Amino acid sequence: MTNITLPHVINGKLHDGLIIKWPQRCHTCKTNECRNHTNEIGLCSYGYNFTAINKTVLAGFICPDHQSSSQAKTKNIRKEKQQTINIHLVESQKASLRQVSIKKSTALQEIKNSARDQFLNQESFRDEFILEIKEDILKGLSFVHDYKQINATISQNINVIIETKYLGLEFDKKIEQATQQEQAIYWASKFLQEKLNVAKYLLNPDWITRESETTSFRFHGLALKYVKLYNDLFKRKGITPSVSGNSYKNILANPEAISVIIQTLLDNAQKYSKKSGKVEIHISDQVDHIFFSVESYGPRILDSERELIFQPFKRAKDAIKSQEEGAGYGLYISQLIAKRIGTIIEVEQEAQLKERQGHWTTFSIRIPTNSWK
Amino acid sequence: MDVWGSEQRLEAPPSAGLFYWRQLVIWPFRKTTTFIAPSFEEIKKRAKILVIDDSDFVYAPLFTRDGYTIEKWDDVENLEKLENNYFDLILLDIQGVGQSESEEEGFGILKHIRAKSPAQIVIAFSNADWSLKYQDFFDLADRKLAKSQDYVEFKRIVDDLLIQRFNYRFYIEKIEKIQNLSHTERTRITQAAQNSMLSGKIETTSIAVKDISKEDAQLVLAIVQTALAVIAL
Repeated sequence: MTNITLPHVINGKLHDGLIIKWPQRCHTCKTNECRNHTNEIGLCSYGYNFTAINKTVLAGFICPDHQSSSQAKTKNIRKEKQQTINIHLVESQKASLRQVSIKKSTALQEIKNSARDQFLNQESFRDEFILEIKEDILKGLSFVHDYKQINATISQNINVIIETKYLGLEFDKKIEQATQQEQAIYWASKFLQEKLNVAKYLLNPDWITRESETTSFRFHGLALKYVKLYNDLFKRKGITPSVSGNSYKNILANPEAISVIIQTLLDNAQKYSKKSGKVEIHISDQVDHIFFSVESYGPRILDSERELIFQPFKRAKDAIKSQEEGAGYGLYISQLIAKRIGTIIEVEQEAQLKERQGHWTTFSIRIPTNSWK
Repeated sequence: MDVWGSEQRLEAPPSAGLFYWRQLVIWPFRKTTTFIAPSFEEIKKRAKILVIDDSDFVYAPLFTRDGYTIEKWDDVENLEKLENNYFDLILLDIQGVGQSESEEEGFGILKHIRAKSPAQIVIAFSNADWSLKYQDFFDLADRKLAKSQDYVEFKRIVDDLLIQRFNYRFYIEKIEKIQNLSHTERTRITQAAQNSMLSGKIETTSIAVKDISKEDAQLVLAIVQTALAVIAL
């Protein structure tokens, strides 16, 4: 920690500086103007200057050679020579604080990266678990084939109806002309298909990296396809997801497996968002990966639950409270897929609770753009 | 090939169908014969598609509407037609078909087609696409399709494969995929196959395959014969 010469506020607490102490009146101040974080040097109604460097606020000093100084406001405190400091000393203090902050965030990032690498290499995150319960899953999912058969009949027939009833060369245009009921049947069938695909990877994780399924494709296009697929469900909750960023890179992978990750993150955002909530999707090219994130308000994920939510058939307590339904294998299989392609899904959540919405939660993944098998 | 100052070349840009450019130079005369690739509409008109599935093929009327000739069998009705390239493209289900011919049902039929007519285009389409158990079936096919796919996806894949069928590269690639051939044999045989396709004569290939195993020689000849049959159309 750097030696702070000026009075300062950290996490709402007042600390005296090594050279300048807090003026008495600041301890009883009710306006707390200095807490309004600003990088510029500001002036409070008492006539003291203040400024912020990240989350540290320097305040309670007088800087007569700064343009913010006010003759009128400082006339009553001019005698307080002990609070006076040269502007250059203030700037130098700010610079050293900035330096400390950069060092801290670099160290934090290093810890994060190391934890991430450790997680990727650790033995506990293995898919052998699934082998142990595979028989049970197989029994539980014995319906998959029948459901696929039924869904194929629904899908083909709604296709024929839309294809023959509406004019136009492109199928997308025909869907737009279709009645609400026809569209609902079509999209429901697509959804069911996607859900059944997840079971495929749960039963046989070898599908993820199977060579016959590996192809080069643009991630951005795939992600947008699923945003479109989920649009109607979002709309029903009065949510218009915003998509930012752009990506032109291709990845060499199994697109169907990658789509499980995309749809799981979108599905969770849709499922746990309250009405008129907010969902932000971001896709961008980075040096050696594509960054993809889905942010939304959601139930609290306790620190102790951060790893648990990626375990099979486990869900956060708050998630169970807000949505009783849910098997709890979406994030597990998504993380399994992520790990097989040499990355992981990360989750971050703001501690602050927004009333009737939940906690702002970010699920993100860095998909490697280099070839992998 | 360079014989007495004559030059013959076979060219086919991707997806353009078969395109022959035959140039015979007999000094001082110069004669050029060009065969134009059939248009896609032409290919569509010529093509015969077969669906083998014990369930209804709901997309059949859409294919007919869009100008394709499509036949539907609930089971294998005529094995010979599957062996002699009667159909340009076969959509084959794995379950519930070919039970009297093979215990492996559709997979057995596909293996038989591959042995008898290696250049026959087959799309494996099934609801069992998620089970690894059936992956050999899907891997053996030219393409796979889940039954729940949209008609546009079916059509896109059918169109793509029909274009390939009328492109000589498709047959050359099939020969290149024969595993037991050495690099030298592969080069010699593909060159001979190209020449056969150009001249319409199988003999060039027959000579080139004399040194390889009987099974591989049969495969190569069957592929070239299919190519010649398609060209003859």
